[in-house]
Amino acid sequence: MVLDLAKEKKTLTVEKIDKETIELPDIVTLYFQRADNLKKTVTIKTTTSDLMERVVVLAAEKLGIKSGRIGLTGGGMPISFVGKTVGDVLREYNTVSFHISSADMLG
Amino acid sequence: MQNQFIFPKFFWHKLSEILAQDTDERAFYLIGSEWGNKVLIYDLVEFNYEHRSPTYVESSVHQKSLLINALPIGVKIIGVLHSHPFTSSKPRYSQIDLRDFEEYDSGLFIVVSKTLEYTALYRDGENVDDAVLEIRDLEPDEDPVIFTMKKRWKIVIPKGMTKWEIERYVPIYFSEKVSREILLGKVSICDNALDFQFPLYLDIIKSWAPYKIPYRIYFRHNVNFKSQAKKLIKELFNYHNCDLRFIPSKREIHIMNCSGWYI
Repeated sequence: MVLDLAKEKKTLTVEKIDKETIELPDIVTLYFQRADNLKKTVTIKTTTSDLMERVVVLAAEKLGIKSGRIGLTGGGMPISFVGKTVGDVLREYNTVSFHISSADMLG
Repeated sequence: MQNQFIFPKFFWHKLSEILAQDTDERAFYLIGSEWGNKVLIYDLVEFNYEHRSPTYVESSVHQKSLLINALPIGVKIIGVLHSHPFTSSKPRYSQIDLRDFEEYDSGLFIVVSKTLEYTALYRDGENVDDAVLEIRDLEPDEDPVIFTMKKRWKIVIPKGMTKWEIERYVPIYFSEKVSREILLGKVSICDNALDFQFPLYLDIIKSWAPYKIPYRIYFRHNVNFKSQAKKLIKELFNYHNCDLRFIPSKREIHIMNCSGWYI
């Protein structure tokens, strides 16, 4: 399926170059927003070797999310972060901006 | 001010069919608009369940975030409806239900029995009141109309919204959507200048829905759009084995049929 072929080709070329030449800095600042309220934002400065799970839990606490089960999205996609370092996630998803939401639990 | 909660008959009938088939709880996000003192429901999106039993349901952790991102301008998650299939009389909230509602700043929380007896609460900040649903067809001025702005953004508003209301409220709704899309966009460096591209997207439309709300999914540039769209549709709507009609010229995907009982 072709969405916007000319633009897409150009972007793919740029992305290829990006992947070859860009190295992650040692220290990164990550932006976390509550998915249901963008005004609630926290930034967390961390190292790329830090565990992403630790950073996400900290961000959720700061954003006032009480639920034990939290999810992360970035770039419009669900992000799987358990067991990964911050560097792993940044390389895989190519973003420093994330939305946090909690599961709805009803009985 | 007394709010009116309008629940279209179409969805209520669909719910009665679906809930009659099931002994496990089911839950749905209520999608709609607030217009003056009216809370208008335009669609229901079922949970993509992480767990489901006769006494408990839990959504996937990603669904709400993806759903909020997918909603067109002017439409939001109005609240949550879930069933208590173990009762046929007027249902009561459980402690788990009340704890879940606390996570919302505002919302309409409905619990229904197997026979569609219901209890509803509306929370607006610290204020919590009982809500009485008006289960009926929408009036012509309450029907949603869809406008396209700048060939990219879809705006859904009640038909009866006045020019004054459109001019004042749409910029507020618009700014939130655009800021979400900017975060999904891509900055590139070209000839010593910075360029910005909004993310690629497709709008998902349920072909059978009475109100054709366009739900937007976004793509990274280096993915297979069809397979990614299928994954995101599953994550967003919990639909299985759907027939999808791709219309690239309109940037739309129409969901034609799915298996199982669904809204």
